[in-house]
Parts: sequence; structure tokens; C-alpha cells
Amino acid sequence: MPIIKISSVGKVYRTKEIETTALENVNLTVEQGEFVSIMGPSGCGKSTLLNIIGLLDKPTSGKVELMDTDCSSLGDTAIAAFRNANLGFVFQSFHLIPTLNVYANVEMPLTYRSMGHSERSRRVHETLEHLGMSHRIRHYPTQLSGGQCQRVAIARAIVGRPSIILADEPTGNLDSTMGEEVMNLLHKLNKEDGHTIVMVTHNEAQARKTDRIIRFFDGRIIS
Amino acid sequence: MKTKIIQIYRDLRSQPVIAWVTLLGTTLSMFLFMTVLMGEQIKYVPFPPEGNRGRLVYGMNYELNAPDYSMSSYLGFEQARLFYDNLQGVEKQAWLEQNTSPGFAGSDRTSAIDAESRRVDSNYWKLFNHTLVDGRLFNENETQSASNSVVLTESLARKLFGTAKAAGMTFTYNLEPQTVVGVVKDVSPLASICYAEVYLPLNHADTLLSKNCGIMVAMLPEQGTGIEALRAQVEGRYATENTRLLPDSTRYVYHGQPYDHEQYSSDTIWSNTTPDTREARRKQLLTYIILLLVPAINLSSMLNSRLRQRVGEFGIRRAYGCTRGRIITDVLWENLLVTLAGGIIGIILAIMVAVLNPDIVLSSKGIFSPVYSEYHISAGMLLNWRMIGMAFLACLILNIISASVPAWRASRVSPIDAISACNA
Ligand SMILES: Nc1ncnc2c1ncn2[C@@H]1O[C@H](COP(=O)(O)OP(=O)(O)O)[C@@H](O)[C@H]1O
Ligand SMILES: [Mg+2]
Repeated sequence: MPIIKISSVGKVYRTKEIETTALENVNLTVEQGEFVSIMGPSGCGKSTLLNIIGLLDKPTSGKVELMDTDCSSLGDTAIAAFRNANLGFVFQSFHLIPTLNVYANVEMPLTYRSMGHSERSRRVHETLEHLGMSHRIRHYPTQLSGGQCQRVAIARAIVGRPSIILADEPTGNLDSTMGEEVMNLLHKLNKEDGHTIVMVTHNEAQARKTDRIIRFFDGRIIS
Repeated sequence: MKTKIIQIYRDLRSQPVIAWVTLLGTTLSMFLFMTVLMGEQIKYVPFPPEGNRGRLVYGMNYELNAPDYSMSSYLGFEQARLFYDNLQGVEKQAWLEQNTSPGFAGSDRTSAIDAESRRVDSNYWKLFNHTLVDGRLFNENETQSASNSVVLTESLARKLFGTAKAAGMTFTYNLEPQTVVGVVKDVSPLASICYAEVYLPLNHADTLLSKNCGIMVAMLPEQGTGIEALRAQVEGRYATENTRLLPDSTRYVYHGQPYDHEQYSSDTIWSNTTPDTREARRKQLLTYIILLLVPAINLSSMLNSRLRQRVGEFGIRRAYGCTRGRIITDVLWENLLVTLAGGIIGIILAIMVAVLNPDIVLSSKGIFSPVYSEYHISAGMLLNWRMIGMAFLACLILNIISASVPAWRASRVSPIDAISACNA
């Protein structure tokens, strides 16, 4: 049973002057527990696809099913709740909230659930412990290295125990050592904790270590 | 909550100029608002000795039309008796002179001390809560016998006798010998019904006084009796009296007496019209709206530029399940805290200025009058629940007007736009 099922999805960006077709008739299924990487040249629509899977954007045509739910028909509030419960996001440039410390950044997704303070605190500590960031809990993002920031961002992505993690070039802003560390972490989350991961990457070596590579060109899957 | 406050602090610190302008702007606008509000409220809020402002009603003024003359004036003894004596549903009533009279204490004119007096009957002391410092208040016997027993204020007693413990002392007032039976705390001129320095007994039966003394009748309705019930009775008495006067076609014109304290203080009390508080309220409301709207527009653009820096944050929050409505309420809450921080400083400042330099507060509403040399506002007069409630309501309104458009705009940003804007 696929956890992600994308059927004939198309996405067209329309501005006053031009029409850009970012995705054209994309079909994709990802199984529960898979680690899939998406590769392709810049501007071919990888981020667009990830945003559509993450319900951050709506396709112009086609159908998005996540965990057996047809998400095309959900309203705004239902989508927000769905994202909160089932999706975690990791971005190239971390996107931590600069005015919050590590603890509060990681806690953020949980504040949109009806969850008591002590339970939230327990989860945040547990997650940071798991990712080896407990010693930086009162630090602010500007006081952390890039690799540490990405760990915190990953902690934020998994603190709500979502089934699916979407990572858009998670190592793009990191040097090779730090990138390696983050990749090991993602593999650990996939193997040990059973998170399904879809990752966009430009790094062929990284991609080869994943279960499956989807190659993208000009809005289409080519292999 | 703690997280929220720390975040607000860090957010403000990241844009110090905007933060200071926001805080100072809030402080200043709440200061102005409170100054105007206090000038207005001091006319209504109960404080001793007018601690019963909320319940008392006043019978005052009359208009009389005769074939060859017409007059409108303060109440005379005759009209007070005709229209207000023994109304049903009145627990207590008192007669008192509507205005103070100037006078002097001391036996010779050159060394005399100016002191304003007011005649009041013995019931007066039951309706108005003066604080007794020494001795006692004069009683019914003393008012009926037109005795020379008087009550002084503390500071006048000090000036005359060098002590506030002046009960039993004698002195000359307007060349008449007087005996002090009691001393009360000084009364602020802002309590314009009660203010005086010398309280003389008012004898309901004094025929000489009844000719040249303008009085008002203060009435405390029984629990459960509304002012309308009293008005109906008074209007009835006007009608009865007019029927009696019909043969010589002299008529009293009824103007909605008795009045409540809001009407009394509305500046529309004339003996030949009915006081209009609605107009006064409209003007007041308009003033308050303008006082809040103008700074709100400025604060709004401040907040807008603060929120523009946080577009990425809102985007990421949305990605993690925050709804649009939640962003709006969060922004409103955060801004309310900032508004309260600035507002409370402004409120405290306004109260301090009012206490230290009351002219500023009073002149804002045109109450200032050079007749009284010493206006004194105490913090106690201003610190009541009604005033505090209105101040916080103003903060809340200021917050809602200034923050709702920026909050709504912040909630409209789509998460991908917000996130990609931050990538670039
Ligand atoms: N908001 C947008 N408006 C217009 N065109 C867009 C927008 N976002 C992306 N595009 C276009 O869609 C195409 C795919 O973009 P994207 O998915 O970001 O590519 P990738 O992530 O593979 O580099 C590009 O041609 C890009 O210019
Ligand atoms: Mg991209």
C-alpha cells in the first residue's frame, strides 16, 4: 500500500506575461518506509513536486493521495491539521525561527496540537537527545553551526512523529563533513524509526545510497 | 507565555528604532487618551464626599411662565417643597445650596480670611460621606433653630485656629459669631455639589433665606426605585400645581427633573431646557475614537514593517500546521502585550501628571476656572475600576485597530512564497 500516490499531476504557473509549466503529468508512488531521492537539473520542478506532496501548494491538475487520504478535497484547516500530524519538512537553508531558541524551535509544531506542556517538553528533550543536540537547547540559531542548525531543523521535522519527511536539498548549504553527518542521520531515521523520506539532492553519491532514485527533467519523470 | 515574551523582546530588539517608536507612540497616545478621559471621568466617578454619585438624583431649577413675566432660576424653598417633598420611593433627601457664597472669617476686614460657605440641612451629612476629623456634624435641632453651629474644613480650621482640633472654638464669619461643632477633611472643588470651606445650617422654615437662597434637593432613591418613577411623580406634581394656577394662567414648565449625576455634570443644565446627555456622549465618543484612531494608523504601519521581517517565520509555521486564524490571533496577542507595556507606562504617567499638575487634565476638558485656586486631584479619585477598565479597553481597541490589518496580511502569505523569499 503506497503512502504517497501522485496521479497525473500537472502544475502551471501563470503570471500576466508568461505561463510556466513546472510539472506535466507526473505519476509517482512511494511505499511506506522507503527512502527516495529526486534528482534533476535546476528549474526542472523538483521543489514544486515536493511542495505539492507536502500540501504546501496545490496542483493545477491531478490527484494527491497521502496515507490513503485524497488531499485534493481537503479544506485549509484540515490541510493544516494533516500537515501537522503527518509531514515533516527539511529545507536547504534550515528556516529556523531566529527569535526562538533551539527548544522553542523544536517545540513549535507541537504547539499546534492539543498537547500539555509537560508532554511537549518531554518530546522535545527526547528528540534533541536522539539527534545529539541536548547540549545546545538554550542556544539561538545564530549561535549554531550550519550542521547543528540542520540537526535542529530535523528535530523539528520529526518531533511530531510524522510518517513522511520531505527534504529539499538538505545538505545544499553544508560542507561535506556536515553533509555526511546529516545524511547518516536521515538514514538512521529511515532505518530505525521507519520514517518515509523523499529527498531532493544534487549529490549523486548521496542519491545512490537511497532505496530509489527518481530522475526528473523539464517537469517530467524520465526514470 | 514566557517563550512568547522572550520572542517579542528579541523581535523588538532586532529592530530597535521601530521598537522604540512603537513603544513611545503607544505610551504617548495612551497618555493623551487618559488625560482626556480623566478630565471627563472626574465629573462622574464617585469619590468622597460625593461617593453616592451613582445613586443620587437631584431636583433642581425651575421655569415659570406668567402672563406678564417669566422666570427660570434655581430652586426656591417653595418649589422644593411643592415638587420634591416626600416623593414615594425616596429613602433620604437633603436640601443644600446649589452654589457656594463667598465670605470672610475673622472680626476685621483687613486680617480676614476668605472662605466659601454652603448652607446644608442635617440630612445632607447622610447623603454625602464627608470624613470627620474632629467634633461632630450639626443635627436637625441645630438646623431648625437656625443656630450658629458650623462645620469647617481641616485647612480652614488650621488657618483660623492653628489646629484641626477646632470643635468648640468660636469665630466670626461674615461678621456673625459662629461656633465650630465639627471639622471635616478638605473637599476638592471637583466635587462641585459638596465643595465649601464653611458649612452653615440650612433651616427649611427660614422665611428670609427662602427668598434669596437657590437650593437643590438631593435624593437617594430606595433600592429598586428607578429615576423614571420619581420623574413621573414630579411631572404629576407640576401638572397639579399648574391646574391650581390655571385661573391666572401662570404655569411651571417641566424639564425632566430629577436629574442623575451624568445629566448634572453634562454642562447642559439650564433652568429652561432638559439636559441632553446623548449629544454630550456622542461628542465624547467621537473624541475618544479620534484619539485612538490617529495613533493606531501610525502604529499599524510600524507593526507592518515588523511583521515583514517575519514572513519566513509565518511561512514555516504554516507549513507545520498553523492555520491562518491562528496567525491572526497570535499577532493580535503579541501586539496586545506590546500595547499593554507601552499603555501601562502611559497610564501611570497620565495619573502622575494629573496628581502633580491637575490643570493639564482639567483644562483639557475646559473645567479649568480661575475661581478656585486649588484644584487637587488625588490618585485615589482616578484609581477606580471603571477608569482602569476603560483604560484597558482603550489599549485593547488601540491594539485591534492597529494590528488587525497587519495580522490579516501576515496570514495571507502563502508558505511557499514565504519560504522561498527567505531562500533568496
Ligand atoms: N511561484 C512561481 N511562479 C512562477 N514560476 C515558478 C514559481 N515557482 C517555480 N516556478 C518555475 O517553475 C519551474 C520549476 O521550479 P522548481 O520546482 O523550483 O525547480 P527546482 O526545484 O527543480 O530547481 C521553474 O522554471 C521555475 O521558474
Ligand atoms: Mg529547488
